[in-house]
Amino acid sequence: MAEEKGMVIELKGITKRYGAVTAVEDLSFTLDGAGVYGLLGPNGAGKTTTMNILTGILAPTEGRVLCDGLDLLEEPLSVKRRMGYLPEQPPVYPELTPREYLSFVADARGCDRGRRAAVVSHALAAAGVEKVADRLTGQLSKGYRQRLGIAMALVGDPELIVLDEPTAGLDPLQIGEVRTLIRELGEHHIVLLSSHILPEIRVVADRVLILSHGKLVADEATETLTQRTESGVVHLLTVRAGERELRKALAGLKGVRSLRLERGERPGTLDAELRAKDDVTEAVSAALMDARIPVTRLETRERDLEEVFRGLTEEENNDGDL
Amino acid sequence: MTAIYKRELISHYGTMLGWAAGAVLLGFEGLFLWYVNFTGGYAQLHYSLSYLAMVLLPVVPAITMQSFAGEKRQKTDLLLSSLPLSAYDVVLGKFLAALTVVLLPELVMGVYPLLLSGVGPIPVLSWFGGLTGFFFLAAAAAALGLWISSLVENPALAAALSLGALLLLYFLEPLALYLPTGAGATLAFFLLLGLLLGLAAWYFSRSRLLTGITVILSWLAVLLVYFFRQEAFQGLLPRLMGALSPFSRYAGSFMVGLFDWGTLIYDLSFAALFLHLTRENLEKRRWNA
Repeated sequence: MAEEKGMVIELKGITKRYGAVTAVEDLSFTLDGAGVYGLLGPNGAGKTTTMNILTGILAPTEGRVLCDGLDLLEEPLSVKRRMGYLPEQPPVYPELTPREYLSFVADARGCDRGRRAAVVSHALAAAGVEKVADRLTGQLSKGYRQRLGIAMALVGDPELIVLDEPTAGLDPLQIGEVRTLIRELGEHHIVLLSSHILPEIRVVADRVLILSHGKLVADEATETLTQRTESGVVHLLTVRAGERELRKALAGLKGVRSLRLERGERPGTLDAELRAKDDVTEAVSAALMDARIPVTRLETRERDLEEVFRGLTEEENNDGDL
Repeated sequence: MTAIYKRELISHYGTMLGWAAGAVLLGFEGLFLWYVNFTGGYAQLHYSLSYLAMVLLPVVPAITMQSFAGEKRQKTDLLLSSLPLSAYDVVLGKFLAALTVVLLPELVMGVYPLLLSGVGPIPVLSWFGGLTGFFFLAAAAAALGLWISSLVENPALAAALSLGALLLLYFLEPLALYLPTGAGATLAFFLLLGLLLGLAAWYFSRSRLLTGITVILSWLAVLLVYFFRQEAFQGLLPRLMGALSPFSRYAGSFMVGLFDWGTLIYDLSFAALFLHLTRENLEKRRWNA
């Protein structure tokens, strides 16, 4: 992780309640120095609330956000001057052209008149919206509006750039371009990126923070997380066999991490969930044939994000067992 | 604040709303001048402004309805909250931009005495006094419109509610004629007002002690006045309603050729109160949204 900008953001014991509903609970993490930080979690996990608190849009019910030791609630303007935030829905004005819009944002971020045109041009170029800079924003496609939102977050070269689902609504080519841009930004800025798509975070983030039900369940380098979650293939089988017989048949398979058995719906059958590092469908078929075990179902699927979250949450709850 | 002000102006004049508001004010003022001064034969141009005050009823909600409700609807309120701008910057920027939309046609109206000087002698000072009073009246109405826009998410609803509130203020004095004039009714009204003050104290402080003190002190003050100066309560309610309406104050001063500082200060206080309440609304959303 590059260390060119020394900004440090600390979230300390952040809790946000809406009446009886707790959106995030006792959240603490630190963004220390330049790099791309991925905030990952299923919908409703509290990602947007966390980002809104981090950018001073929402005040936490409990806890503090510190930026280089300055409390965001006590010094909101000086802290916000160093941030750029793209919310989930790009906050653009349809009656303004992208150039007018970015000029407004530059003005609001305290950029003086002499420098404003250059700052706007830089942001337009970085997000690839130069071509439509003088068209009305209301006439732009969803993709261009999303890119304009990214340009807005970059205006004035803020040290912290917070992007909530920045690739939503973009075509695959644009997604690739935005990911490249994020990686480039991460070399000199703190970029906090939220997504519910694990592969996206894997591709761009140096560090991953995982939220589940408003709680931080993982905070680790992307590489470490990848090792923990990537090799996830699940085989679901239904066989006509006894438990001991099945375990014996599958005992010799390489790469099997766990085997969970349940009594099947039909009498005399077993449902099995076999987790392996790689796809072992062929080896499983061969082993069952060798053991003359009739198979009525054999499905294979990748571990999906929900499963990863469930796994991490379970680990969090049972960390004594790890 | 200047960033918000400029952006609002681009929005007002980019969507033609600002031009339309200016055209409506100038068009109606022309019509009233023709009706009152040319047909009626009066030299006092400011008489026509009393009719123009009525045109503010639809024009002000049209200008202010998008101010906050529109931002919430298109989610740009998140942008404003994330920028290094205080809530006062946002509120004042929007307020001054709304006032500019009224000021520009007023500047055009400022040259009317010059244009009409050939027709005969025109009392210029009362005309400029009338325009000043009109500007302050628009300021009070715009602040109320901004506050209502900050309460809802639908700009059309904001416009309808603002129109309703301004209509109520416009007709407050005539409506007050239907209120009872007896001292007992006035006493009941003020006791109710004391209760409302208590509710306001509870809303802002959540303190039972402060709420209780507010209610008891206001009731005590009202009862003391009632028992020692009961005659002061006679007919007070209709008089008070007239004094509370910026439209009635304007009609009773600038429209009869009086330059009334009291009305200007009242309009400014009215505007300051609603701008402050708007700011409170924005801040409250940060805690409760």
